[in-house]
Amino acid sequence: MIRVSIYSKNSSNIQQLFESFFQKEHLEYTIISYQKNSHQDIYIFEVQQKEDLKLIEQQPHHDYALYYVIGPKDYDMVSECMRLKVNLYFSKESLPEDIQKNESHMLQDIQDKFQYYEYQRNGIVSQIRLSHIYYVESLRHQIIIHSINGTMVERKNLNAFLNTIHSTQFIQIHKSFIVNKQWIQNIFSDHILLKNAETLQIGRAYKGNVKMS
Amino acid sequence: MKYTVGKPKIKTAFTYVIFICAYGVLLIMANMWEGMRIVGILTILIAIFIVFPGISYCELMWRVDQNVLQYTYHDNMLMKICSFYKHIFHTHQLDYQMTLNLSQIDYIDINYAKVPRFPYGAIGYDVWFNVHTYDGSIYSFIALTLSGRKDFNKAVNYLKEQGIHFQDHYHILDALQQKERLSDHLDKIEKEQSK
Repeated sequence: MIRVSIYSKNSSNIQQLFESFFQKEHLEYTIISYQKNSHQDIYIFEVQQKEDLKLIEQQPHHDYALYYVIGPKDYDMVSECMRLKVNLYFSKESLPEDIQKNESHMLQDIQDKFQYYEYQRNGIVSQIRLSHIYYVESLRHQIIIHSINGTMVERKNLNAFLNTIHSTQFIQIHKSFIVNKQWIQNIFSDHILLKNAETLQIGRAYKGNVKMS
Repeated sequence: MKYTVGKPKIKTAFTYVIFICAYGVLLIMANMWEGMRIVGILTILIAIFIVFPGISYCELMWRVDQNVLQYTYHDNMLMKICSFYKHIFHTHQLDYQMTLNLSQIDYIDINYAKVPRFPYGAIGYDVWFNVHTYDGSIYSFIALTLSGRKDFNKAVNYLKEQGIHFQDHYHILDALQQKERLSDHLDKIEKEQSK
């Protein structure tokens, strides 16, 4: 479920346009009224002037979220949005056309950020965002999924995990490790440093994999 | 400070095993024919190495402390026995399947599931926790089945103290705190909904 938050004075029209996009792409979504400091997946802000962008500045920036701004055709506004790490800027005058033009880009972003890994067994059902998995470790017929939320142990092997997720974001760097490329901070000759300060060994047989990625 | 729901029931398991072993010893002492002695020895071995670990470990076990919420679920007796021996001989600590950082939890949604209860197939209710994290992941697990209400309430109160927000549309937590029978409470809600 994608959580969408809209901040707009004329939200019904904007909401309708984005809803038709989500429905067309068969995406599960929920529209939530905008609240400061809340955690959502997509933030859509309608702005009239440069001062309105303060709202985005005050909002804590989350790497996992997407930020879209709808505003007038103004170069200053666009450059300010780039500084604020806004993902897409839509012109208010030609919003339906802009959404249509950026559909594939938006869909790619959504797939990259909000795809789930689903795990189900008696007593436990979980949907883990793939983008928030740091790495997956294999240990004695089990895999340990290390994510921003903690760890999860499952009886599976790494190949079966890779076949389930169908994602190009993950690479195997060792017979016991699969890493999410988004979380790699630095690559050294024999190990990888992750953004969460963990280091993982690179297997000799997998050096080619790392170079290619 | 940590709170555990579903602690290993070593004393209960030990009591059961004592009775089974006593029965095994009786068989040996009866000494009627050789086969009976073998059955007696087998009974004692099964009681110690299979029944004891199987009974002492709970179906579900979860634990909460200042930093993490840990959870594990044993589907069947075999898993309980494996976990027991892993604990004793390998890890020397309880192995949890899932570990969630409390700092990442947005809120916990409380829900329930109707399940047939052994041995007569009467309908009972399991309490489910749907843990929603800030990044949009959802972890759902059975938090309470039949017993352990007291520990459950303590753990939930501790989670609330740690700033975790609960969404309890069916007022399940209130019913559990007020020592009301959960099945009566949920039956009432189901009847109201079906009207």
